[in-house]
Amino acid sequence: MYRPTVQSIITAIETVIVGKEEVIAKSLTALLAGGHILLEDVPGVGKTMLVRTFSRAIDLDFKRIQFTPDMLPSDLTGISMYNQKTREFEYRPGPLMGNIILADEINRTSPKTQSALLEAMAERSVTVDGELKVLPSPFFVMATQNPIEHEGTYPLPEAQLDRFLLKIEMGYPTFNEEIALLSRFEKEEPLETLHSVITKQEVELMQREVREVHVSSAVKQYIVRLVHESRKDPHTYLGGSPRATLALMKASQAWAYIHNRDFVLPDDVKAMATSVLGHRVLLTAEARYKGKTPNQLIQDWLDTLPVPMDREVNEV
Amino acid sequence: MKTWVTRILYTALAAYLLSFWIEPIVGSTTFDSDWPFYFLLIVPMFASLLTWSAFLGISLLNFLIVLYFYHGSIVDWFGIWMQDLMGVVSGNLPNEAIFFSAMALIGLLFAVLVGRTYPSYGFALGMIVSTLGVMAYFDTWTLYDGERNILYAIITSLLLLFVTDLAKRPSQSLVRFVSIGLLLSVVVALASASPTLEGDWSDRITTSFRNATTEGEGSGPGRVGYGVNDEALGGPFEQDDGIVFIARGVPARYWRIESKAIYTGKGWVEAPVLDSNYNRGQLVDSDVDTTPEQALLRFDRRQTFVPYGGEYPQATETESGTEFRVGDIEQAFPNETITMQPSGKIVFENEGQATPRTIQLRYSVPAFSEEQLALNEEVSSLTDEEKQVYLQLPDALPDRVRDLATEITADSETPNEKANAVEAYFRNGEFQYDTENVAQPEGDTDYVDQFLFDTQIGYCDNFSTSAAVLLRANGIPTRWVKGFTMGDARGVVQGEEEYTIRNRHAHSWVEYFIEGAGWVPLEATISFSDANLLQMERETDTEDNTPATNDPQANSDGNTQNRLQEDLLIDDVTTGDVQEESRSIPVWGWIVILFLVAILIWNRKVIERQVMYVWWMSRPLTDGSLVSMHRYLMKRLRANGFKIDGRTPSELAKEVDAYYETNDMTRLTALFEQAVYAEQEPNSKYKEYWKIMIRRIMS
Repeated sequence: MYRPTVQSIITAIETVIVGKEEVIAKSLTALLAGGHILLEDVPGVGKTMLVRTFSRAIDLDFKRIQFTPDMLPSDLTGISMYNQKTREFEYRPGPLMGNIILADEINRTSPKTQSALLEAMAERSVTVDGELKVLPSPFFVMATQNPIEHEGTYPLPEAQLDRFLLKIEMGYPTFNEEIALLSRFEKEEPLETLHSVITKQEVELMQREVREVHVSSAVKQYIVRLVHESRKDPHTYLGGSPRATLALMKASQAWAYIHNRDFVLPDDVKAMATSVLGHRVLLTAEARYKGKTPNQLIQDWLDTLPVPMDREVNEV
Repeated sequence: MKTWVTRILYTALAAYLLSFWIEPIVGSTTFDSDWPFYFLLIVPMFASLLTWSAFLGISLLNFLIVLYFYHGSIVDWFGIWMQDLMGVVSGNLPNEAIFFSAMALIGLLFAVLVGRTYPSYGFALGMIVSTLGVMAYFDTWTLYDGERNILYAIITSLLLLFVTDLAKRPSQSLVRFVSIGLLLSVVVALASASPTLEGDWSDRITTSFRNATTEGEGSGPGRVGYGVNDEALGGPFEQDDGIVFIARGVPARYWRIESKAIYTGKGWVEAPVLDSNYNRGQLVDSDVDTTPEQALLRFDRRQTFVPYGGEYPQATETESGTEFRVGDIEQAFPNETITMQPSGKIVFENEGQATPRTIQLRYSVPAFSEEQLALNEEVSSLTDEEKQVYLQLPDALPDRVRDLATEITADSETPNEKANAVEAYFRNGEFQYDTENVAQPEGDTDYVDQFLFDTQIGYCDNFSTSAAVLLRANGIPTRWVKGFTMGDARGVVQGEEEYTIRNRHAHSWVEYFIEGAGWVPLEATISFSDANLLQMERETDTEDNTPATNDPQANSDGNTQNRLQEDLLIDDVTTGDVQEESRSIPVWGWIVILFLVAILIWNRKVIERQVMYVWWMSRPLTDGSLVSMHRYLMKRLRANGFKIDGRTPSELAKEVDAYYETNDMTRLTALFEQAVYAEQEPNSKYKEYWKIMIRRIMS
């Protein structure tokens, strides 16, 4: 049960993307919570298509950056060029100056360029030639990362992973979905005919409304306990930071909002936990050898941690 | 708990319950030993844990082995069995062989039931009801006394129900263990506390002979009971509630077994053979009125003595000496020779001198008149030899004992007055009744001297021996008598009064001789009354019994009554035996208690549900009460096997609704979420759904 406006966006996107409702909903969640997402999956599952459809449906300015090892920070932020006519330096905006940025294969570029992007994501502004340039709003980065190639890649450091609100895996379509995909793209290009269903202003309004979603003390307890669990678990080498706690709350708020509720349920926290904490939890070498994954661990915590059912704060 | 552990426990508890059948059933038959039946009933029970073929094989093997060890020859036994069967077919009562195989069949039947129905409330319930029924039946109608076993049976029953429950609905919950623990402790507490709710009578009512039935020479305190050896009296003893016999058809009556005549300074030994009328079946003078009485005694096990309530039982002279017939004259014990020893002890002349388990006894109860008691004539009915024996005192008896005897009876003339004076002396306040802190004389110390002058603490042996010595010192022929007090009243059974006589009712008193009256009993022990011992002829006096102070007869009568009342006031135990029985819980009471407990257990959910309804519905719905109600609901759901931890309310609601095929839980959860997670005012509809859900979960 989505909020009607949200439902219309999802319906619109689904005319192009087949069977990825959860990914779409989570991407919208990140957008409305004012965060960014990291899409991690093998090439060709439709990461780029998703982002393009997204920007088209929401009527946002879409920019794409294909990262390469030789890319420089200025390739992102833009540079000041000397204009012979006016005899002045003129600012040429880089691809960051958009609403929805597709940062494709972010792990291919050098840490220097990566950190420039991540800084921009956090600050929502860039500094060019000593001049502060505020990025447009809404500003939403969807970075993709290819997990199978290691040659010539620069995996994102943990501290920078923390800046993505959600990490989402696309996954392959099912058999039927893939058949549907073939039929859909057989004769035409659905993206061409897609019209935006929501304006930039409406998105900004929704972002403000998300912040109004009520988080009860019981749910706050639940969030904090969950993150504490990630720090206490002997299998984890690094647990969730307070930023993770905050992220989990914001994501849960947005998730509750798109589900047409003005308060957060423990269910929202549960739904967001894996996407929020999955890339923030590092396993010990031992746990990795045992074949554990962060998602499994998070699922274990969710399965055992009692859900607070009253308002009193009980420290565990 | 592992399933096989539960199953073994279940079987063991059922087998233990079944074993309670053996004692009462076998006790009412001619079988001497119980052990074959324990094997017959219990081995198949455990064999039922195995496969069919193993079960049948082991049961059959068990039957044959038991048969072999019990009877010696299996082939012979089948011959007897066939004979029995023929007898039963032609209308006789079944004999041992049929009974034996019937018990084996019962064992097999229960084993099949326990094995094939596991786990079943029906079986557990049937097992419990039938076991308690058997115990109650045999307790009421036969000699079997289930008072102690009934508690074990009830605890076992509770455990069996618990294990059945455990096997039916395995759950990790601790609540069940805690509740069974609580229940058990309540039952045990009730059992141990209830008889003492109104007072402590644990040790005081009882008395008497040290170290009896065990006859061991071990050190330490002896156990109370009737014993043969009285050569060294004194020392503390332990109480023993073991039943000796049950007497039917008589009022509360002291039970005489024998007397002893020679005081050694440490205790009593039997007199040499004496031969006067008084030792040939006569206890009182022929002028004394006697009332014939008939009693049915049922012994817990074969004994070596026959207690009787008055005069010696009927005796006939035969060529081989005095022969006593106890039992119906026509249907006595034709194969038994029964003699009475000079001490008045009736002995069955067989190996081990064992009595039958049931004896019908006829005797006469003498009732002395005031005139007869007041006689003060020279003793002529006893031979010189007898007089010498009954006046015997050890040479080493300290003189102060004799002096005290003279002092006590200084104002008395007749033997009766002197006896009353001695009895009164013990009630002067200096003497104390106790069974624990009682000394045993060492070295040259005289038993009586020690009690009269040093310790002044003792039980019946001390009082009776001292009274005997004091009376003898006064020149009154006296002897020391052993037996039992009247015992605990069991109430009226089949129209006749019954009394249970236990080991702790063993007692001793004295008989002193009045020429013209005979041997008159005297209860010397303080806190005991001789109302049941000494029958006084009162019929003629009762009319003009109004106190006339100058009438010596009425006076002495009044004294007797006053004394009894004083006893009651001074020492409120006195003869409280009868009251005690009515205060302790009888077997039927236990069954009613168990039944109530069972009803409570079986209906505990309904009761709990009602209590919860009333509790929560009567108070306004606030944040706090809503959370508490929801917690309770979660507790009930958890008890019903739902996983609560790690579930959000709505996840749980979906599962619960899917299980019960409703959507009430989802509605309830939505209201709960509104109140707790949206932090809005609780909606009163929550109560409605809560009630529906609780009813559904707890039905």
